[in-house]
Amino acid sequence: MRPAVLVLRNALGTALWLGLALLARLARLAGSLPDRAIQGLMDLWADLLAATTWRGRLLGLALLPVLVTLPGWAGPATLSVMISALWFAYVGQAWNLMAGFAGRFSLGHCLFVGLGAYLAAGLFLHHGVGPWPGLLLSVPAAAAMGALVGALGCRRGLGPVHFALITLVFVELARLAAGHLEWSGGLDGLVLPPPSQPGNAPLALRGTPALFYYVILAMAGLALALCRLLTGSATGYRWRAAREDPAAAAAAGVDVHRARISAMAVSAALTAPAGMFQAFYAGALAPDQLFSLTRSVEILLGPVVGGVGTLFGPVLGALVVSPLGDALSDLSARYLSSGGGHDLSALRPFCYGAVLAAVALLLPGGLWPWLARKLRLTPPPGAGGPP
Amino acid sequence: MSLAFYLNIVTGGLLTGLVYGLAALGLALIFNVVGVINLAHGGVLVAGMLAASWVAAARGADPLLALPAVAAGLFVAGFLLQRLVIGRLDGSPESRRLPLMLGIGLMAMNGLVLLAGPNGRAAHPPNAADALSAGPLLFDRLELRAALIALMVTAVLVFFFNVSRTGKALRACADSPFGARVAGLDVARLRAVAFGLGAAVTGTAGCLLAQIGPVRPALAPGHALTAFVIVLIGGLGSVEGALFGGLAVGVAEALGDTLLGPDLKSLPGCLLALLILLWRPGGFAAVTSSETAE
Repeated sequence: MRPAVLVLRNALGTALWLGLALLARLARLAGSLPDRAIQGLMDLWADLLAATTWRGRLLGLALLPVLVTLPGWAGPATLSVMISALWFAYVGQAWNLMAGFAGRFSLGHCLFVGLGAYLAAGLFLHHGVGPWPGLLLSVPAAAAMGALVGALGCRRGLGPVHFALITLVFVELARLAAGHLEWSGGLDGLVLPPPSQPGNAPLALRGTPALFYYVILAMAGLALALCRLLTGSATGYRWRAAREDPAAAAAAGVDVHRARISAMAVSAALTAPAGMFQAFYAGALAPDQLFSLTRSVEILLGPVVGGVGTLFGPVLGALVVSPLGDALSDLSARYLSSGGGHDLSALRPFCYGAVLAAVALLLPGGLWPWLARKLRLTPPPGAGGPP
Repeated sequence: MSLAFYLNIVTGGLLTGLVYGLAALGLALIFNVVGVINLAHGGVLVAGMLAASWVAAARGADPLLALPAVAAGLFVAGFLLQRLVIGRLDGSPESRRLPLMLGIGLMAMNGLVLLAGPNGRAAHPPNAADALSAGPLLFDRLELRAALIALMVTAVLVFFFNVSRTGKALRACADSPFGARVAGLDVARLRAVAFGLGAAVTGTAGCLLAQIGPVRPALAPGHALTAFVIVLIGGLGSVEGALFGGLAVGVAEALGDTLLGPDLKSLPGCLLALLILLWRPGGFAAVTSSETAE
């Protein structure tokens, strides 16, 4: 009995201490936030200039107006594909913080998407709290959950395999909880009522697909900037030190355990708004759909295909993979409705698996480093570049 | 709710737990020697299940007859998979091997759904639905049979690892691949043997599970999760741990099934896994690993 009590006391003490430290850190951060944001954006800009060749810059310049004007000329189908691609670019970026920069491969990021989605929808339905104010609750909740998963999954002596399995266990627990609590609507899930009046209401996140497109475009852009800011910060260097060589990092004074926990907390916090977006964009939540391995795989597929641990990899990967997934589920739906009789809904996750295995075997660095080299979008290695 | 009632539940849980333990043993074996987590575990298990139910349905025979063929087929499949695909990433970091295993796992699980269709099927042998009674205890005859076979297979495996040459070579390979290579062992081949053996053991457990529970391709993720919880509780890669964890999860699941309801039966096992992590991070069987650095 004694060691259990001791562990509990230690855990409580650590939690209290972490909470206080976090509060102090947040207060300090809030004061310096505008400064840091401007600095981060300038860093990103400088990076973009330093890390690209003229061809890369021209391509980026050409892409920008396309992205901005897309809702004006694209059909509804293209727009919906682009929205989901940008959504996956956003969550992929968040997942990549833990897997790519802190070196622990999470198989459970659907947990944080689901948490964000359920909190947003539940607060809206039960308490009339809008989506954006709801983030004030869901983001810290996701961060706390991420810290818990990280604290258990990255305990000393546990390897990456332990971590991956533990994230799976947490997803199962979340699935059971969401399916059995009245607040989350049980197995039926939650359904948001259709908006009462037509027109766009950005503050209530209600309106046409074009509105959702611009919101997710802004979110994906912000996530990219935030990740750049984080990876260039002292925290980001600690994460990468913990990834590259835990022993050396510890010898250099990095608390590897804390670095991983903080990476997981930040990654989870960044994932939660994606859940909020999904809840309001799709309008319906079901526990078995949100908390499933397929969902987690969809999240990590973009970054793995694009390039784990790179900044632009998750974006590129999502833009490649997500239309493919949409096409596949379209195909299986059409086949089913045409009287094919056979349910082909397993085809999409099957192809995801094939893509994952192929990338792991043939293109270990991911698509982005390879493409950037081939098209000479970035200077050749050795000339310096982004992380 | 009398004592006998609970006693019966626990007994049933222990019997199922022996089969779970066997399945987890396959997982632990692969992790121990090859060093990867077999995320296709659920798929392999369900392949065994489907084979058993096919024998029962198409031939009207005892599904147990499928066992040798399942074990042999999965051994060959696992051997080739490790030799030709997974082995190519031997020695690369986990960040490359996990996506590969995840990809293979997804292909296995969903490939089976595509091949066999999502519908459930039965795999009960003809006329064996009666129970044996011993004092206050009632044994489901099928459960008892499955548990005894699982116990026998486990015993054979333990014997194999402790006595036979190949078994000892596999253990050497698990302890230190480098040392094994120095001693002249073909590590790549042994790893393939271990993967094949692990897959065969997992498929055997699937065959047995098919007779005491529902059979559906969609059960693969659930069964995989059960095995993962077991190895988290028992200690990744530990044989005793897998058996102990199997029994613990079997009982936890049986109690959860009765007390909380069938759709919450995985809850006690998951909570137990988290508690064990808090108390003894390396799992039940790990005594020293929590002290060693990674």
